[in-house]
Formats: sequence, structure tokens, C-alpha cells
Amino acid sequence: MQLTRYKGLGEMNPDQLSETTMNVETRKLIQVKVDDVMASDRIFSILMGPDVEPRRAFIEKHALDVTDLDI
Amino acid sequence: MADVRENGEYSADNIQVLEGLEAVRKRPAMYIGDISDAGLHHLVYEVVDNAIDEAMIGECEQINVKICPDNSIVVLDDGRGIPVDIHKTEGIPAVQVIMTILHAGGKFDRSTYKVSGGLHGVGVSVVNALSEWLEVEVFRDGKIHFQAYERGKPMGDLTVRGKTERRGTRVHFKPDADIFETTEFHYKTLVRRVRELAYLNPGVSLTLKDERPGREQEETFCYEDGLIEFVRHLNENKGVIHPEIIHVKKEAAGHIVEAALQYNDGFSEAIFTFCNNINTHEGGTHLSGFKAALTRSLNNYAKRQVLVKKESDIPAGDDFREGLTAVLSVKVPEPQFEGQTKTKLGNRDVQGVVEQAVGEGLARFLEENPKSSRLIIDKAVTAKRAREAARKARELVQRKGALLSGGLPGKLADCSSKDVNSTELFIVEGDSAGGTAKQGRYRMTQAILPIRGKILNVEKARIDKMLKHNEIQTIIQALGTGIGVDGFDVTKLRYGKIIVMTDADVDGSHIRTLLLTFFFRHMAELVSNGSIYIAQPPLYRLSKRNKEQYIHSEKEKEAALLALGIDGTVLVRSSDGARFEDESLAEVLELLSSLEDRAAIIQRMGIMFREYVDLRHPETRAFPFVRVMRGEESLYFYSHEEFEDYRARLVEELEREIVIADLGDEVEEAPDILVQEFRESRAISEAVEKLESLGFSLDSYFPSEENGEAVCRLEYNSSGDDFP
Repeated sequence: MQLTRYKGLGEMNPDQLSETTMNVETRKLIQVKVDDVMASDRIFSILMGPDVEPRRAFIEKHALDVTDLDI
Repeated sequence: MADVRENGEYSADNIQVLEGLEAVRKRPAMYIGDISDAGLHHLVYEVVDNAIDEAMIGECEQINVKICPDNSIVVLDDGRGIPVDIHKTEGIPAVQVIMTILHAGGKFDRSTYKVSGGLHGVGVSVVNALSEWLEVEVFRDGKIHFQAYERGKPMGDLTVRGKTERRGTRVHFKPDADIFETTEFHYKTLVRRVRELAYLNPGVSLTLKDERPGREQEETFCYEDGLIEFVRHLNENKGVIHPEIIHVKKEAAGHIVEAALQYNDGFSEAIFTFCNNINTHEGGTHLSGFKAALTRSLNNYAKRQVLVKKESDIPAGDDFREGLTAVLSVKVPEPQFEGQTKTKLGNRDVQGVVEQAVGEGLARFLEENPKSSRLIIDKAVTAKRAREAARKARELVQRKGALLSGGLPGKLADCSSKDVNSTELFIVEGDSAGGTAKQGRYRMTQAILPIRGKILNVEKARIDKMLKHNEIQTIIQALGTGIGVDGFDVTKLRYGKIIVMTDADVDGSHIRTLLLTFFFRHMAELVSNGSIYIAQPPLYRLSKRNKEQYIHSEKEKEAALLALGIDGTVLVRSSDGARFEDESLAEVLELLSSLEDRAAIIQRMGIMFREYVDLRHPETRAFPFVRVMRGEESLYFYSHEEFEDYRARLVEELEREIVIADLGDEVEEAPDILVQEFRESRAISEAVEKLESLGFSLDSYFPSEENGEAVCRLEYNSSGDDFP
């Protein structure tokens, strides 16, 4: 039995990338939707905005909830 | 609020009857939009809107919404109560008319309510028709009146069930599973609307409570300053450029106009508009009036105070909306809703009323607050200059582009089809993966655009800087839509799907987030119409002999490994020799694995799992649901009710409302008690009980030290693989 971890897209060969990620028949896609514009506006401001403080607070609050951390 | 009753006793005569209910069950979507999540939740809004109608004329202060354990809903208000006297033409109690006849309701007679919510004004009869059962209780004139319905049909007459001191209406209903695709309510969806209604109706207190096991929670919203607090909330995580929140409120020509606004140092605009408490996503006449007033008032002020010296610096409408957060709410007697989702206000007369009200209010603010006014004008001038610079940069790029390959970026490997319905653009992280994708693509419909490195974070950059950024230019060119400065045109989009494909690591996530920020802020329409997708490359490849399998998440990996491991393995219990293999083994392992996950969560909360397990109730066998710390003392409760009892006793003991805080929260006031909720308690109970029913005691979960003997041993039969 062999378990290979793919770190990047580049580790797959064209056939594998096609089968797993691109081929309409076999791939998985996630559609991006916004069902709450206000909440989305807020989260983009916190995570990507110029003010550091809200981001720090957000990270401190949610750091323990992270499950699949992969650095 | 508005004084609306001209001769307004709210009684049976006010109700006009329009038509019957049969059609509703046949074509539910025509009345509530759809029969999925949105339609289901719409039922709740429709009932709450009735209570809000009472609140809008000052007759109701408290509205309670409750999700019951069986996913039925209770809406309770302290309004005047639906009339119960006999209706003149129908010959039945008014409440029954309202519950069973389409488009009935006090709201159709303008002398009862001046304005009214309800998305299509279909009323509570639609909710009744689409409910498996519905019970209405009216507290009025000292009596409790009661009637029950099934699928819209009354199960008996309206009866008096007792005396009461209170007044109001209580509606309890369960959506019909025969009609709806789903009957599971989402707290998050309901809380959004409940909070919104609290902001829009200052002083009205709305409580939402979830009583479903394992999901118990409750929140109350009441905002005395309404829209001002709404804007403060929206700007909470942004740097504001002036301290005051500008507030405008005016009643004119039977309309009520209210707006609150404040500028932040960001680059996007966030204007939210409402008409009669309905979110008008598509804007409309009130929004046009607001925008016109904003541009005119600010420009007039700038001119009078000579704040803008150069002709070329005079800001336009767009510039005055950079970094603007605003909420506009109008109450209109007979709203006309247009547009695709019926959320665009069409009443012509509203535009002028709003423009005048907002214009006057803004002018007053600007005169009274010269310092803030100057900052607002300066920001708009800076925005104007950036936009000018961006336009010039764009022209330059376009001229350059025109000389090369038809304006398409050189790095793009385009697809051969021009049929937008079937084409896809993959935006791929890195040239090397881009190369692989080019070889692996279906050339007819799939185009590949590799981008290099981290793209610019547009949340921190003005449009001029953004358009100088190479990768962003490339993306805009490939999409073909253009952008803000010279007009974004969704009809020019060259692909049906735009698929972001990045590595499954943190850098990949970062690049994906940067791209989504760009789309959300500058091409919002692509997001809202569902054109943006995220590719899901696998995390692992698992191969065993000839079989191979791709795995997309850690959870999937666990399951796959478990399945592989089980193959050919037998678990034998030492005490009685019971054998577990295949499905029964899978069940045991799944339970153990789920228990292990929950144990990890409990440990993270600072309690050893062993200690937690020892707190199991000796009689009920339940696990603690919440831990309460009062001073040095720690108490454990096993259900929501137990905790509520304790809270009530404490209130009685201290003779005041008590302050409760979650452990770890930052609190302003010293709390009386700290609580720590174990959301995992129910799941742990379930897993443990199942394990026990299979004959495993919880003690055997923990390695025993006294006797080193194993509880179980593993055997492999010959057909299986070697398993580590």
C-alpha cells in the first residue's frame, strides 16, 4: 500500500491532473456564492484590509479551531 | 413611529377577502419563491412581518422566534392580537379569515396599517397552507383564543382556552415535508434577518432561540439607535475617516425616509437599501435618489467652501462612494417591486422624496462639521485622481494590446470554442502547473491562464495601483469584461466558468484568497451570478496493488485507511471471545475514531477527557452539557433546562438580572458566572451508548494500568494484507 501526498499541482502528471481536477466527468468543483453580502464585506475587510487589529483579534479567536493545518 | 389610525379600530370589518388557498399548495413557488431553503425560511419571515407591522405602528415591543426540536417554528409577539370577532361578509372569525383566505389581512385596508412588510404581501395564509399543521393563539380582551389547522384547513372552530393578562399573537407551525425539499431550519439564516429587522425597527426587541438538541442557543437584538448602530456594525473592522455617523430622518408625503452613513479608508462602496424592511438587493428609485443627493450635496459644499481648486479634480458620483458605508431605509404605503428577484423598488415618487430628505440632512451635517466634511471631500478628490490615472493606464494598455494578438494576453492558452455556455478558464498558480494543465486540458472548451506568484491584495490598493499590476491586467484581458473605470460589462465575459486552480497548501490558499478578493471587490457580478469556481485537486493518492484512489480531505483519508485496514482483520474481545469483522468492525472503529475526535476537542478546552468522562451523571448517564464557574465554585449541568433552572434561581437569589459570560470572552462588566459549553456532549453520549450496546465499557477506552491485559486482540485471516 502506498500513500502519496500531493503538495502541489506540479507533482501530478498531465493525465493525473486532468483526471482528478480538470475533467468534467471526474473532477470536483466548488462554486463560489455570496448569500450574505454584509457578512462577506466584513470578512474581506478583516482578513485582507489594511487594519491589523481586527485581523489579530480574528486569528486569536479562531486559531484553536483550525484542524487541517499544513505548513 | 407613524400615527396611522384615522378611524382605526383593528377589527373584522377591515379585512377584505380576495381569493382562496387551493392554488398555493399546487404552485408554492409562485407565492414564496421556491421550495428549497429560501422558501422554507420565507415562511418564518412572513409570520414575523405580521408582528413587525404591529411594531411599526408602535403596538408591539417584543417579538420572539423559536426553532423547536422538531423544526417547527413559534413566533410570539405582544401586539394587539389578530381580531377574533366575526367577519361581516365571511361569517367566520377574522383570525380564521386571515389564516385561510389568500391576500386577506388587515394590511389591505390602509386605515389599519399605513405601511406593511411581507415580500409579496401574500400573508400568513400561505404559511398555513404550506404547513403540516399550524396553531394560532390570540391573547386579546383577557382571553386566550385558539385554533388549529392542518395543511391550511381548520381542525375545529376558534375556541376560548382560558384567561390571560397578556396580549399578542402566537403562531406555531411546522412546514409540510410533502411540499418542501428540506424542512431543516438554519439558525444562521434566521438570525441574519432577525438582526436586520432589529436594526431597521429601533426599539423593538427581537429574540431568536434554537431549542434543537445539541444546537441550543439564544440571542436578543434591540437597537435604540437603529440605522446608526447598523452602520457602526458594518464599519466595525474598518478605519473610519470621520468619527460621526451621519443620520437623516424625515417624513414626507406619507413616506418615511431614514439613512445613516459614514466613510472608511477602504476603496469599495457598501450601500444597503431597504423598503418596508425588505432588503432591496437590486436597488431602485430610493437608491437613485440617495446617490443623486450625495453627489449634489457634496459637490455644492466643496464648491462653496472652495475645497477643490482644479476643474479636473471635481469628483464624480463614483468618487463620492469610495469607502462609503450606508444604510437607507424607506417606508412606503404601496411599494412596487420590480426586477428579477422582485427586490428593486419601482415607485417613481420615492426618488424625489429621498433625494430631498437626504440632500437636506447632508447639507446640515456638512455645515455643522467642517473638519469631517473636509476629510470626506479630500478622499473623493484622491479617488478622482486615482481613477483618472487608472483610465490613462488602461488606455495605454489597450493601445499596446491592440497591436498584439487581438488584445489577449500572451500567456493565455485559449480554448478553440467561442460558446460561452461551455467554455472554462482555469487560472492556475505557477508556470509549471500551467504547463501541466495545458497538456491535460480539453482544448476545445478549456483555456489556461498561468499566473506567477502572489497577486496584488486589492483590498489595500486603489484602482490606479491595481491596474498597473501585471497579473491583474492579464486576468482582466483574458476575461474580456473590462473593469470599473471604463465600465465592467458582464455580457462580454469570454468564458462560462472561471476556475481558480491553486496548490493544496497555504501558499495556494493565499493566492486563491487574493483572487477571490479581486473578484468580490471588482467583479462582484461574476460572483453573484455563480461564474466563479474553485478546483479541488486531491491531497493524496492511495494505491494498493492495482487499485488507486484519490483523496480530497483528511477525513476522507481516515475513512479510506480504515476501510483498507479492516479488510481481512478480526477484532476479538478477550472477555467473551466475541468477534468483530467487516461491517461490525467498521462500526466499532468509526465510533472509536469519532470519540477520539471529540475527546481531542474536550482536551483543547482545558479538561482531560478522563476527567470529563468521570463527570458522567450516575443515574441519567448523560455527559455534562455546560460548566458554570461562580467564584471558586465549579458546577456542571446536564441539560439546557437544568442550566435555565439554575439561572432562574440565581436571579431570584440576587434579585436582579445576572451577567453571564463565556469563558475566555473579553467582558466589560465583571460577570456573575462564567460558562463553558461542551457542544460535544450529545455526540459523546451517542458514541458511548452505541459502544456500550456493542458490549464495550467506557473504561476500556482508557489504557488500564492495574492489569496490563488487553481488552481485545487483533487477528488477521489469510486473505488479508499485512497491516502495520
